[in-house]
Parts: sequence; structure tokens; C-alpha cells
Amino acid sequence: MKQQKICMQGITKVFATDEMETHALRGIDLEIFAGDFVSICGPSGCGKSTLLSLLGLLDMPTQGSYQIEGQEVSGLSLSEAAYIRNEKIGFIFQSFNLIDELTVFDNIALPLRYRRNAVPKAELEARVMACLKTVDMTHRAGHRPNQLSGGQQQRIAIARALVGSPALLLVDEPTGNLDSKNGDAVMDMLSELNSNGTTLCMVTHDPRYADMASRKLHLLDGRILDAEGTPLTQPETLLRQVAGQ
Amino acid sequence: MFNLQDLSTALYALSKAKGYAATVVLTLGLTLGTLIAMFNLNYQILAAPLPYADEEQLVVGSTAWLDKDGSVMYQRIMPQTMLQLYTKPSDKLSDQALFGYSFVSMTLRDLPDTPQIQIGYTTPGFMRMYQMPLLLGRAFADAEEIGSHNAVAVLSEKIWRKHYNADPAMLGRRIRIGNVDFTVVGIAAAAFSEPRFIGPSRTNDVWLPWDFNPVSQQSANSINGWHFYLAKLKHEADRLAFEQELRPQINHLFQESIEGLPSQTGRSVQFNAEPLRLLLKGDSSSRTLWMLAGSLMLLLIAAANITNLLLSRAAKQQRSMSIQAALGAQRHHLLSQTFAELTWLMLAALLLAQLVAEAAYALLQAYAANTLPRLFELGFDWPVLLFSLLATLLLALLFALLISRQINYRALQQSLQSSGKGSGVQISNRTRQLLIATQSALAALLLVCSAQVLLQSLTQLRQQVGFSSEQRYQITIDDTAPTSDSNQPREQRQAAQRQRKEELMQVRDLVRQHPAVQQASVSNYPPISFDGVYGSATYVPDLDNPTRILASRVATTDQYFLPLFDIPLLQGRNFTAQEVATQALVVIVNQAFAQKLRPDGDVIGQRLYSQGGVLTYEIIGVSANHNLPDEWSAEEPNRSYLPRNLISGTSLLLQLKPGMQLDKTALNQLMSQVSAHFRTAEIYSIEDNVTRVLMSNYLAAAVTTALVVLSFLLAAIGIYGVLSYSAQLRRFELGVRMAIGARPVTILRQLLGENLKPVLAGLALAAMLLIALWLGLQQTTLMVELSVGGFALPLALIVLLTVLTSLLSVWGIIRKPAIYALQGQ
Ligand SMILES: Nc1ncnc2c1ncn2[C@@H]1O[C@H](COP(=O)(O)OP(=O)(O)OP(=O)(O)O)[C@@H](O)[C@H]1O
Ligand SMILES: [Mg+2]
Repeated sequence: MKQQKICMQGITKVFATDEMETHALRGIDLEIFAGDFVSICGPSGCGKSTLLSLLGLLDMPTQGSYQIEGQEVSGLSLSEAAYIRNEKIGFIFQSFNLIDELTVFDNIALPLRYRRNAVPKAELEARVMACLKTVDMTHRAGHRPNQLSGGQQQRIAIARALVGSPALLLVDEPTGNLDSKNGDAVMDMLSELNSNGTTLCMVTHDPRYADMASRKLHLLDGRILDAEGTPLTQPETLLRQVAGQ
Repeated sequence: MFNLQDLSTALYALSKAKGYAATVVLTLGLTLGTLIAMFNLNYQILAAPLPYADEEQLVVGSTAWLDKDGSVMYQRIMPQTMLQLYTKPSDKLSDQALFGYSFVSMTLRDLPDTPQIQIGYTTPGFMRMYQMPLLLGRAFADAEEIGSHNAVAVLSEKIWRKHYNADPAMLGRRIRIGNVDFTVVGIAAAAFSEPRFIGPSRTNDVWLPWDFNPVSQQSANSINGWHFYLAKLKHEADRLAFEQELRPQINHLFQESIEGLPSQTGRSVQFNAEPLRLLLKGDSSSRTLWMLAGSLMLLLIAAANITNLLLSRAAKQQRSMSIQAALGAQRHHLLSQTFAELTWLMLAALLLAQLVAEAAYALLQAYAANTLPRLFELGFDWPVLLFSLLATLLLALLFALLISRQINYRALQQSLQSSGKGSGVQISNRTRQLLIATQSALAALLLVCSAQVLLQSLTQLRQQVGFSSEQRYQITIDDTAPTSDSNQPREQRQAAQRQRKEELMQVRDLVRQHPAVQQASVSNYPPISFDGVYGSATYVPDLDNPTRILASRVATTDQYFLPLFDIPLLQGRNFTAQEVATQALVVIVNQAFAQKLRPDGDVIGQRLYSQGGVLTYEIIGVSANHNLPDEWSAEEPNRSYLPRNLISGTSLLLQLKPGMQLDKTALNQLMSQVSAHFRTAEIYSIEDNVTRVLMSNYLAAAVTTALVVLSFLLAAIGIYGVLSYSAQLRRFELGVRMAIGARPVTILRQLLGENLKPVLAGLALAAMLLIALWLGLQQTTLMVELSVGGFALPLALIVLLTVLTSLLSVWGIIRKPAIYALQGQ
């Protein structure tokens, strides 16, 4: 039996704006195990990014329970969530999101600097350099992000996500801002990380990249479908909805 | 630059950003309005034309009185001999007049409630030169020239309305002032802007011909203040020549008049013909210029604030701008909406500023009319309008220039194509830090300066004045008995005076029986009189050294005076009833006086002599000092109390029981039981008298409190503006930091560290400037008492402010889950 990393049960997310309520997620049950490479795909607006931000504790669910490595995290304070994020989760964004004022080295070191217990300087340096080596960017440690190409920036972003040895790596459209050659390189790097044991959860539109995952999830209208395209949960609700339209 | 379409779009955009628009308009309107008001005030005092034709030809003649060593003893006095000039005026003049203010207020005896009035004694030339507008009747004419003894009067419109029901039939009617009946020949319109030769607080209610001036009867060697020789030059350029022409003549006449007076030997007078404007301005401009500087500083802070607000608004509009740029908008297209918004804001601010200025005029007129000249001429004026338009335009241009320099068109164009998170509207970090530093430096300067003044005036206000004033009243007495003739033999005059004193004491004893009265006393003046006037007496402490003369303010009074005012005796004893009755030669002095006689102040039993050694007084008591600096003395003067005699200016002093009142009628009734001649002239509350003296302190406290509050508010808005703007710009970056595990506290701590740096730099700069200013002031005669609290507190407040605004500026970001910042919500 593989070790369970993530367990979501009945997660919903409702965005209430002035005019209307948007049900971005309508009851998600999801388990992710150590070493999994999960890809999430689905049409635009189906809730992929929302799910990912809930997984990464960037936002809190409206309802449902969420456990990371057995610890309940759905009701945490902002500050506690930040600690969990810092220690257990790594992010890779579509638009890299490096901080322009910091050097490549400092960008990567940032998660370690936010640790609950300060990481000694020597260890910090060693870990940053090791990550730089993983993404093959050692020679660029002193550069600023805007001096790098898009592909290079994304590799730095990957290094930053890895530096804290997270339990789970969350990736949102990692190739969206890259050409196919750079995109392929980034994907190769991610699947290599996965084969070395990193647990990955990735949102992508590209079917080629989705196929590289060991598990594929399809999202439609805030629900997870099984491989055949029928909802895994509460089918009668969906049917009623389809009928109603 | 922009068209109507832009203007209406801008109006709509502003209506969607009401908070922003209101902040800009309020900030700018308040500060611009204050500046306009202060400009107008200075303009009126320094430059505005006086409301008299050919004002530059009008001069005011008076003399300085010089001591043997040439030092000035008194400025602006008039020796009696100067009157001789009036009979043969210089040929450089086209008109001339004499003008004198009554020293004590007089009463209108034709009215049952005998109201008090102030009188100006003058000659027809005054009404000609100063174009006194008449509501009814006529001004003084040749028939009222010197020597005519024509008993006529011109009333002010105010008195006419207040006491004579604005009755047109008053013309030709008689009024009684003192023991003389005057026929009313004219009513001076309220529009008459009376030249206030002796300061803004004194105005006249009635004008009488010169012949009725008591001064005109005085001997040739007398010298008076508050009297002037007014002249109109044929040519403005002749002023100095005129002065030179009269100087020797007047001094010569003066020397003749003092011949045979040993105490006067060696003294001289020096005639000065001052331009009217200079005299009216007095020393007020030094104060008003400071007020102008303060308001300018406020406007600068406000301008820095508004720059921040405008920039942050441009930053918020960045996305829509970059889309417009992508659709082909040129730089000027993007600027035009910003400028259109700016135009609306500036217009609204200008309007508000006019209202604020009007309010400031009203406030000044209500509270500063006795301290600042020409306040009643404040109001709409073309040069002031021009100034406010220019100031607004200048600010608008400055803002426009700053904004257009900060909008980076190229970066905007690219921002949509690139990763999407670049920003085209961005002040560089340096500019931002510079703005914060400037802002805190300006605010610190203003805060520290105004806090110093505020503390000083508060200290003065908090101090006990040294005597009780609540429920204490000064009752001035109008004695309708025929004035004693100066030709009467001395004994007879003294007997008359003594009888008057006896009668007053009887009145006092009757009043003491009245159920409303707690305590009563008779004195020339209370510790502080309604008009600020006091009696004075000089003593020689040592007969071997007759030239050492000590002046003092004297109260000639009875044994009830000190207890009535709760003035404690530090040593010795009060007068006895016996001493008062016999006019014993005893004296009580205050501590300040005692310490001048003997450093240890132990003076009981010591003797004081009258000048010439005729009378010898024994000191029987030492009273505590008062603590009420007035316009005559910044320190506690020497005071003495004598039971000996009542000199002119008699007051009945009363302490009423709590909650009790006593009116004129009741008092008059009591007095009539003793003498048919006594009437109550006026009842003054001693509390009001004290307040009047403290008014300048209240004024300073009010102005500086307003300044402190305003500058602090502006600094708060400004610093918050910059900080929230930079937090806004960094929202995404902060989101990323939060995504990778930065806690809210970590973010806050980091921002605080960054924000405090420029603030501290600004404070350091301000501290250096303040120290330089302080050292500079040490070179001048200006007295500055530096208080450490007034220095450190504002600086600490600004630091606190930074901490709070830092928190406030990122509160919206760190209090929500990281995704909000990342998505730019
Ligand atoms: N902050 C928000 N407020 C209101 N509605 C939101 C918010 N964020 C997302 N939504 C709505 O939630 C739904 C899911 O959005 P989400 O961003 O998760 O879609 P997605 O699957 O990532 O789409 P895409 O493939 O286009 O990125 C959408 O209908 C979106 O409009
Ligand atoms: Mg998405």
C-alpha cells in the first residue's frame, strides 16, 4: 500500500461576487499517493486552477475536508497555512513568478528563509546549489530573473519549488508561456523528478503532456469525471442539470 | 490637451472613485484655502491699497522722547507744544489735522443706562483726509476748527443703532458726555474704515472737536501718548524734507517748555512723519509672515500627498492603459484622461479653497481682530483671486508634468505581450523613497515648530494667574459731580477728593450688606482692568541714592482688596480699617518688588520714599506675585498697594455669592443712598478681563493646534498614500512570497523595515534643519523656549504613524488567502 499524501473529501468552492455565485468546485473527492504523477485537464473555466490553489492552501475551501499527510488543513489560520505551504508544498506557476529584485540564488533560497526554524547558512547554500544543479543552472546563480529566457526562468522556478523538499509539487500550466522546445525540456525535467520519487500534481491543456502522467483526472463543471467521462460522484445531480438545460 | 468627451469620461471615472476624489479635493482645498487666506492677510497688511484716497501722501506725525543719553524713552508721543504747528502748517502740506484718543472711556449721560463710549478728538482735516462717509448729516467743518468751542458730535452708525434706535431725528438732538451737551451733526457710516493709529483693538464711537479734548487744556510742558499730528503731503516725495523741516522746530519748542525743570534737562524730542501704511502695519507682519510660511509648508506636504495619490491612481489604471496602448492609443491619448481628471479635481479644490478662505477670514475677524490690523478689509480682492488662480495652475502643471514623466509608454505597450506582470506606470523605488522622506521631513518640521508654540501657550494658559477671578466684578463709576477746578487751592481739591473717598467707602459698606454680595472693595483698578490700564507709583528706596527710582503698578485700596482676590500675603499683614480710614503711610509690595529691594525679599519694616522724599511709607506686607504677562510687561512687574488715596479711575470691586447676580439698577439704587452723583458706568467680569489678556495665548494655541492636527492628518494621508501605492504595486510579488510560505507577520515585518528607512532619513533631515533653525534663532532676539517633549513627541508620532500606515497598507493583502494577491484582486 502506497503512502497517502493528499486526501480531499467533498470539497466545494463557491465564489460569491456582487451579481452571482459561481460554484467553481462542486464536491471533489481526491486521493494522491506518494510518487503519483497526477494530471488535471478539462475545458476552460471548469475549475482546474481553483482546485490547484486549494491543494496548495493558497485558498480555503467553502466546504469539505482536506488532509495533507494525514493532517487536517482545511480550517487553518493564514499563518499556519503559510507554514504548511512552506514545508510541504512546492509551486510552479505558468508565469514563473520570480521576484525581479532578487537574484536567482535568492529567489531559490526564499522558501528556506521563510522556514519556521531558521536554516543554517551553510545548509541553505548547499541546498540551493544542489537545486540549481538539478535544473542545470549553476552558472546563473548571480543573475536577475529578467536577464534569463523564459525556459531558464521556469527552470529556476522549478528549483525554487524543490528547495524545501516538498511532499507535493503543484504545477499550473508549466509550459503555457514557453515554446514547444522549452516546454518539452521542462516536462522532461518534471517526469525525471517524478521518477526520482517526487509527487506531482499538474494542470495542463496539452494532451501530450497529460499523457505523461501516471493518473489522469478530467474536470468538468467543478466535478471529477472517470476515464469514460461520467462523473465519479453524485451522477444524478449532473444528469438533472443536463436535463434541465 | 483633452476634449469634452475626455472631461465627461473623467467625471464618470471620478464618480467611481469617490474616496480618491474626495481625499484629493479635501487635502488640496483645505491647504490651498489656508494659503489663500494667509496670502490675503499679508497682502492686506503689506501691500493692499488703504481705503483712503492718495494714501501715499498721508503721514502720521509724532515724536520720540529721548533721554539725556539719547536713548528712546517713549515712541510716538506728542508734546503739548506741537499744537503750535497746527496754527502755521508747513507749505509742503495740503491738509492737516490733530487726532487724540480719550484715555478713559466716557459715558453717554443722556441715556438712563449710561453706556460707555470711546471718543476720538479731532479737527475737520481728519474727516477730509480720511473721507469719513456720512450716513446722515455732515462732517466737522471750519465751524469746528480749533478755538471754536462748538459743542457738536459725530456718532458712529454702531452707537446710533445700538443706543438711539437708528432714529434719523437724532440729527440736531443733544447728547451728554461728561458734563457737556453736544449737538449731533452727523452719523458716520459703518463703512468708514477708521485708521487705527494705536493698534487694531481701539475704535471710536463718537468724534468730538479738539477743543473738548482734556489734553488741550494741559500746560505747555505736558506730553501725551495716543495723540497724533496727521498731515497730507502735497507730494509723496516730500516726506523726509517735511520731517527735517519740523524736527528742529518741535524740539526747540519743547526745550523752551521744559526750561527750569531740572528733571527734564538734557531730554529732547525727535519728530517723525511716518507713512500711514507703516504705522498701521505695526509689527504684525512678522507674525503674519510666519503664518504664511506655515501654510505654504502645509500646501507643500499636501502637494507631495497628492502626487502620491495621482501616481497610485495611474498605477491602478495601468491595465486599462496598457490595453488602450495595445489598441493603438498614443501617449497623449493616455495622458488626456489623466489630465481631464486632474482638471476636475483642481477646479473642485479651487472652489473649496475659496470657501475655506472665507471661513478663515471669519475666524480671524472673530478671534484676532484685536491683535491683527486691517482684518475687516479681508475678503474678495482681485490680486488675491489672481494669486489663487496662479497657485492652482502652477500646482496643476506640476502634477501633470510629474504624471506624464511617470507613465512609461513603451513599457505599457509591452506589458500585455510579456508575461503580463510588468508595469508601465511605476515610480522608481528611489522616487518613492524620496517622496516618503520628503513627506516625513516636512511633516516633522511643521509638527515640531507648531508643537513648540502650542506647548508654550498651553503652559501659559495652564498656569494659575495668581488671583481669583470667578464671580469677581469690576464696576466702573461715573461721577457726575462737577470736576474739581484745577484753579482751586490744593487743600480744597484734596478735601473734595477725600470726601469722594468717604462716600465710596460708604457705598462699599452698603453693597457689602447686599444678600448677593460676598465681598466688596474700592480701588483705582482691580488686578487686571477691562481696558488693561493700571495705576502707577514710583518710590525711592534709599534717600542717600535719590536717583534710584523703582516704578510699580499701584492699587490704592482698602483692607478688603487682597482677601477679595485671594491674593496671599507671604509676609507681614494686611491694612487695618484704621490705616485705611486715616490714610496711613503704609504699603504692601509684591514679591518681585521685595526681591528688588532686598535679594532675600525680607523687607517688612523697611521704608520707601516718595520722589523728593516728602512722604515715607513703611512696608507692612509682601504679597504673592501674579502670573499674567500682558502687553506692557512679559514678566511680573513691581506691584504696590496703598491705603493712602484714591487716584483717578475708581472702581468698585465685588465678589458675588455663587450663582448670584447684580445689575446696574440695583447698584445705582444703592449708590443713590450715598450720593446723587454716582452711577454705575459699566460692570466688567474680572474673568473676562483675564481672558482678554490671555487671548493671544488662546489664539496661538488654537492656530497651532489646527496646524498640528492638519499637518499630522496630511502626513498620515500622505504616508499612507505612498505606502499603499507601493503595496499595490507589489501585491503580486507579495502574493508569490506568500505562496511559497511567507507568513503575514513576515511580510509585515519586511515592509516595516523597508518603509521606516526613508522615514527615519526624513526625520534625521528635519532634526538637522530644526537644530540649524534653533541655532539661527539664538542669534536673534526672538525668545524660543525649547521643550524636549515638543521635539521628540512629533518624531515619535511620525514613526508610529509609519508603523500604523504600513499595517493598514498591506492589511488588505495579508489578511486574505494568498490566491487573492496572486490573482490581483
Ligand atoms: N476569484 C474568483 N471570483 C469569482 N469567480 C471565480 C474566481 N476565480 C475563479 N472563478 C470562477 O471559477 C470557475 C473556475 O475557474 P478556474 O480559474 O479554476 O478555471 P480553469 O479551469 O483554471 O480555467 P482555465 O483553463 O481557463 O485557466 C470559473 O467559472 C471562474 O470564472
Ligand atoms: Mg487556469
